[in-house]
Amino acid sequence: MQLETQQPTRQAEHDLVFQVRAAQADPAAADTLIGQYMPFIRSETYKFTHAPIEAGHEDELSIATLAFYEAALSYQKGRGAFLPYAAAAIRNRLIDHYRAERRHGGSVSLDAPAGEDGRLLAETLPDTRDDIGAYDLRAATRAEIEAFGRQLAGYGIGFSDVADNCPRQERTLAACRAVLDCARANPILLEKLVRTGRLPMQDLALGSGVDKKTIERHRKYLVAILLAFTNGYEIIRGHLCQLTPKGGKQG
Amino acid sequence: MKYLVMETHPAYAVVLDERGRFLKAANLHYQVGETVEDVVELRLPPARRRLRPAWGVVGALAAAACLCLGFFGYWQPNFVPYGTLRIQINPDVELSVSKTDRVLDLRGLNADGEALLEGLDLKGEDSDDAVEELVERALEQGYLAPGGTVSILASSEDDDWQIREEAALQAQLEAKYGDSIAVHLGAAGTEQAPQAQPEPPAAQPETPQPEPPAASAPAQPAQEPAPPASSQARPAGDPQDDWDPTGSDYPHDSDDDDDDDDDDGGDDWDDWDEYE
Repeated sequence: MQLETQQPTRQAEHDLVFQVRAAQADPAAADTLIGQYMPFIRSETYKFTHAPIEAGHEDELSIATLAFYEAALSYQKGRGAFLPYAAAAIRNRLIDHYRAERRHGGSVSLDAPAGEDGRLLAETLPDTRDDIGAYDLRAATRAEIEAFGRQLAGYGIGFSDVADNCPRQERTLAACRAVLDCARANPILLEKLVRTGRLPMQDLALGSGVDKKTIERHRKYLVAILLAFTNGYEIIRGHLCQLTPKGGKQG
Repeated sequence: MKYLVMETHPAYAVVLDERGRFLKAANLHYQVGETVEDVVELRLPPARRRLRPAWGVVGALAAAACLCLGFFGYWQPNFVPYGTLRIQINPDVELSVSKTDRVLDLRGLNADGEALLEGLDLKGEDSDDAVEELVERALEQGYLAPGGTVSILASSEDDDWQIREEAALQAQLEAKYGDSIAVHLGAAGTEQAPQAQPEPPAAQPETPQPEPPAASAPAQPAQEPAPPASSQARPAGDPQDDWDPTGSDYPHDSDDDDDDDDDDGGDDWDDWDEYE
């Protein structure tokens, strides 16, 4: 009896390890894995919140999902079963999240009642937001990002790849920015990138003084950020205010 | 810092910050195109640096290991003086010897010694061969006549080495020249004092003397027939040894030993045999 139940479990565990390994390499596989294990993530979150997710604990679920994803990325075979590892990762991340949130403990929620007349605090504040304008802006932004994403896909690059490829060290980021500045100073290079579909690595290395190896290592990221500065993509470029040499603060 | 949401996934959203970094962050129900302020960034697993050993460090360690190996395994035993052998015939010669019995240096300590060493290159030779060569040369040059005495004095911090070396050289020379020359251990010239010097090994067992009788006391009855045998064996072993059964001329042949077991003295003889 026990053998019969144990056998499939082990098989499932084996499969899971393969799935996790696939997820480490491929964002789509990661999405599939997370979709499959959403019930597990919910249950782990519930163990922590002791309240239904729908009762205002959506953020916790999001954090838990992220923690699950992190666990999948960092999981190493031979270090124990994946699910207990993921459960521990989720619990730790949620504890961290609560500690971070507790720093805002002194502030008052906008949803707190403001007076005797039953209005909420948020309703007493002057409404300065241009909701319709914001909606339009968001629609435009979304369209632009979609176009950007399509163009990136033409280079065989997805946003996840770009994020994975993004420099993490301040020094590397500065080097990439130097490459970007060089490309913006020589629009021919940007044109070349669009025309040939390849990063003009030699020219960029010469122009910016950045090591070719560094450029190669962050190729995907550089393609994305250079593409953003080709044509169109006004909103994205506007968002990157800190990257513009004049005006924007360097930091 | 504001973040522009670029793409959403079940587990995370790709956001673009104002400095141009693309980040993965928790997807707190974001929508593409939204601008958000606080994100919960993805924490990446620490980079696995298995395949990137620091070759410089590895190389330095390997070089250090090689140097250590070379130093302790080759240089020190072969080139660092471990002890000295002093050969006194009339020519007085001192040899520095490494642990592997390699002659490192030869010095004549008197004029004859320098003359003996003249034109002789024994450096790097085995110390046994060197001593033999020296003795041979001394015989040739007439410093050493048949019946002469060769004094050998080994000195080192390692007492074992000292004793071993002296014994080996003595055995070697005696084997080669037989009775034609006498080999004497210890420094020459100060004949009397050195005589007393080598003797202490015989005297040394004196200090633990109280123990052996105690150990052999229970065995006494069984050894009753032994004394004649050992008394016969002893004179054959070393005839010229000034061993005195009365045990009076040695300060350590103290009476208390005899007092302990005043039987026929066979016990003492057994003890003696052990010390031989």
